[in-house]
Parts: sequence; structure tokens; C-alpha cells
Amino acid sequence: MLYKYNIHMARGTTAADSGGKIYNRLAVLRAERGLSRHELAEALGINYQTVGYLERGEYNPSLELAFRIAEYVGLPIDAVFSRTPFRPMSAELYGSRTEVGS
Amino acid sequence: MEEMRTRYETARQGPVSDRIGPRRRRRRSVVALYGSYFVICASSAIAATAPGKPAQLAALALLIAGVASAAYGVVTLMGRTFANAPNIREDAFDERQLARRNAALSRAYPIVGMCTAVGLVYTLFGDIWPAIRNFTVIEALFWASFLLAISLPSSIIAWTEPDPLPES
Repeated sequence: MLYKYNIHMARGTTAADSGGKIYNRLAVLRAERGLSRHELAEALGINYQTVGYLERGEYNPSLELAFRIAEYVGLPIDAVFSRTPFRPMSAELYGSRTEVGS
Repeated sequence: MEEMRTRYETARQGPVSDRIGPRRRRRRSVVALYGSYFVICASSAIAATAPGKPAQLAALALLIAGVASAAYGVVTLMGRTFANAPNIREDAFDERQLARRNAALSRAYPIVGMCTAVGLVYTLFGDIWPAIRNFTVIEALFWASFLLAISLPSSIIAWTEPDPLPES
């Protein structure tokens, strides 16, 4: 079963197929750099629709694509992808000051 | 990374259009394509069994409608777009599109195989029990297998692929 799981992760799968969603910060990182989906897709060598599916978490990238994305944005891979939801960047940078009511 | 980008750029020199259109229109094309098969079968059945000129005219009208519907389905589905991915070389697509394409092929081939098997079994029983042998039925099953073989994977993608995401 582990072998099958690793094969799925290596090839890229829909979130439903792999049994778990991979969260990412792709939309935020793209907005920071002022890139359109087309521009980011062109840089990564993928279709712009795939960028959209990645951003919405409807497609889990292969390991190879995940590393390519991380290299392109210049961040470690675990800063771009995670198996648990990312906290908002403002919360990560400024902590409890951004909590509601504080 | 440079090599991967070059590979996709090379593949895109024979461009595959991103314009697959809304899902509703694609589903209409699939219905038109497979509906035409049944319309043409009905036309053949009427021409073969019903005597008289009105029946023959009706059969001719159905045949023309069936051919027109099939042509509409073929023209709208079989272009150089992702909706027709199974009929386009795989190096024109990225990993997500390839996965969708391969899933459609995996779903289509058992159905095509089953249809072909039904035809073969019917032909076999026709050899054993000539009373049930009907070449019109054999021909219909053959054309069904042929139609499914050339179009079912593309039809699955055309039917299931969501509407394109907005460009941003």
C-alpha cells in the first residue's frame, strides 16, 4: 500500500485520488510577484489551467513539479506546500495581534 | 527545469488550443455524436422493414439528420484541443492533462471491449443457431464498436472536464 501511495505522489493526482489534499500558497506567491496564471504556467512549463487547479487544491502536483515550483519562487518546498492548511501569512508574521478582537 | 520547459515548448509548436469551450456545449456535441448512431440505425431499420414511399422518405430524412448530427459531433469534438486529448500525442500535455487523458482511456477501453465482445458472441451464436443471425444487427454492433473505439475516450473528457477556469 505504501508503494502504491508513493507511486501516486510521484505522478501527481487529484486530491480525491490520493485520499488527501495538498495545501499550497501558490495563489499568494503568484499575487506577490504580480504574475498571471499564464505567466506562471509559461515559466513552469505547464498549462495555465493546471495552475488554477493547483491553487484551488483540486490537483496534487507530482514531486518533480512541486520542486520546480519551489525552485521558481525561491522558497523551500515546505514553505509552498503542506499537508495541513497554512495559517494566514499575517498570523504567522504578527502572531496574536491579528486575532479577532485583539 | 530548462529541459522540461523546452519539452513543452517543443510540443506546443504544434499548438493544442486551450479553447475547449463550456461543458454544456461539449455535452451537446457528445449527445449529437452518439445520438446520430441511433438515428441512423432507426433509418436503416425503417428502410429495411417498412414498405411504401412515405416510409422510405422518413428513412432518408432520418439518415440525413443522423449524418448531420454525426458531422456536428465530430467537428466540434475532434479538434486540436484538450477535449480530444486521447487522439493527440501525449507530449502536447502537462502532467495533470496526461493523468486526465490516461484516466479517460482506462475508462473507455473496457466499454469498447465489452461492445466488441457482445458483437463476437452474437456472431458466434449466429453460427450455432442460424435462426437468430441477423446481419443488420451484426453490422450495427460493428459500427457501434468502431464509433466507441475512435471517440469514447475523447467523449469522456469532453463530458467530464469542468468549464475552463478564468484567465487571471
